[in-house]
Amino acid sequence: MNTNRLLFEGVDDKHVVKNLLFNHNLDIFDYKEKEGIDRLIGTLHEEIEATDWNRMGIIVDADVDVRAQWSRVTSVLAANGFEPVPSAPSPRGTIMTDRDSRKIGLWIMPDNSLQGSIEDFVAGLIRDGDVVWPRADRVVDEIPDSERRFKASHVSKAKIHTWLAWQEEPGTRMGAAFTKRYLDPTRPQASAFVNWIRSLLA
Amino acid sequence: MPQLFKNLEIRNYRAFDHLVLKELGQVNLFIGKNNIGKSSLLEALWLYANLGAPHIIHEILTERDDLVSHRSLNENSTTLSPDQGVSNIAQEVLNLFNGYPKIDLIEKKIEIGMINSPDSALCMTVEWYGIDRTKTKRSTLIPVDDKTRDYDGDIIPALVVKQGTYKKTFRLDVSLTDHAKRWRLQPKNYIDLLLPASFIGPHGIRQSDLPRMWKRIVLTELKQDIVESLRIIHPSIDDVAVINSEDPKNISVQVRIEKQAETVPLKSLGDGMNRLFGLTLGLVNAQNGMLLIDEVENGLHYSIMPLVWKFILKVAKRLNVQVFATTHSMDCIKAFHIATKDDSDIEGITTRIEFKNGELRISQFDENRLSTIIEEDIEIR
Repeated sequence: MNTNRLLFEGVDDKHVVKNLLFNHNLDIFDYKEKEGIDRLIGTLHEEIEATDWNRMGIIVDADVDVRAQWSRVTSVLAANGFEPVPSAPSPRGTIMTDRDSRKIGLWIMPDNSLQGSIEDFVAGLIRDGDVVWPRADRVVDEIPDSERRFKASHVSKAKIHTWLAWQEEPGTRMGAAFTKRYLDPTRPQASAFVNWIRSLLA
Repeated sequence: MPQLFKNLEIRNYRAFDHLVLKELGQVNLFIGKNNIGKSSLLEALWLYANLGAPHIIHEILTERDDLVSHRSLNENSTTLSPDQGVSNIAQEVLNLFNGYPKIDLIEKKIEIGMINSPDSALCMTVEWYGIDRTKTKRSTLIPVDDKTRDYDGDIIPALVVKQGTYKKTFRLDVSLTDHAKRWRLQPKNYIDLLLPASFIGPHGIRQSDLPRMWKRIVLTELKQDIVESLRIIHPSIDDVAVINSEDPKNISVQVRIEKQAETVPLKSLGDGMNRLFGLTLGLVNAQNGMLLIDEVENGLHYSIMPLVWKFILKVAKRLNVQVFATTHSMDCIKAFHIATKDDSDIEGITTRIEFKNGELRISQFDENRLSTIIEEDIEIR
């Protein structure tokens, strides 16, 4: 039996996506996390050689050096006969096909724009009118640079985890925030991703 | 000693229209869902080692049940012109060619050898000959044009086997078993061209091959390798021997176990012991040649597979044997990985052969790629 597989850089992305897809009745994947982007790309050729899949989605963060990573991923796919090879990510997610009609999809978190991360994706799923979020957003912004212990690239991460700390159950993980209904799986950010998943499965 | 095959190219043999393996190691593991590909590959190498000998062709065709039973035909009744059809023997031999061609249309040439090495490749073709009965009692063969087959008299197809300067023509109005009898009477310089090779099938060594293989090693140090391999499962094995090897009905393999007065039949010690005996007897019979193993894991518990592979590697290195094995088992692939990774002298290559959407597909994995596959738990079978 062939399976549908999603590859992730790490465990956080995996849990967020699995929970989101569960809410859309699309929890039909084999979810596989790699230890970071280098491992994901470094083992991609072998993952493609696997004989047990028909649809494979690759989900990566648009953090540092995403352009270089984008070209590394697409060149592995091109070398394995996947077409068409796009020059840049499509806002709706990228999908490529090989001669055996196997499909590989590429999604760059949060929205294929080459900026942001899984935390920005999650921030986009916070319910309209959430009163705590603007506060979390502001509070993190207000920390002076000299007192920040996190890198500039981790601002969104700091904000999301601040926001999560102020929920009914402080410290809930991002993935579980769907189950606890802190997050809204029908926001436009989620729809774009879910539509990409649906066209990957088509 | 250099490695026998650095790479491999096969044309028109059985399942293969054109197979290219760019890389081969001293030990090679073949995987793939479609069994016909892996078996065809081992057969092709077996033919190569045996210079396309008729008894090997017969063996390949009978093991596949392709050889239709035929009466032994005398020369006159089988000398058929094309419009009368051709002999059963010719039909059988055509089964070796890719796509089961019709004899009228056959232009295919089987080639088995290294990439771009036509001089050392084993080549097999079917050609037409006219029979000249004028000279002596024994008829001689006159080549005729394959297309027009213009000859004043009877013509017959023949299988022509060539490798370098070696060339043999097997008339296909004579049965393969008759050719086999004559083939064994060849001058020694032809026999010397054969490559030492052993073929261990899914069920082990054939009973009929056992005496010959045993005789070659019985009074040599190589017998100790067999004892050592049996100890992988049964550490208290002291000795092993083939008894009554001249008598096919009573032939048996006996082992002596430490501190036991009576010997016991190897058969009574289980499938694993029998498999090890077959593998090792094959291995030590293939010095400076090749060992071909179909479904290597058969009978062996997964937990001892790493030790079995390590043993095969150790002996293969010492005796300069190139190993080609097939498997269906992921445990066997993992064991192969453990053994080849630990041995820096021996390169192990894993090759997947499959037919997908009617096309032959080859994927080759060196030791590094195989590491990734095992670490990431990737299904490559």
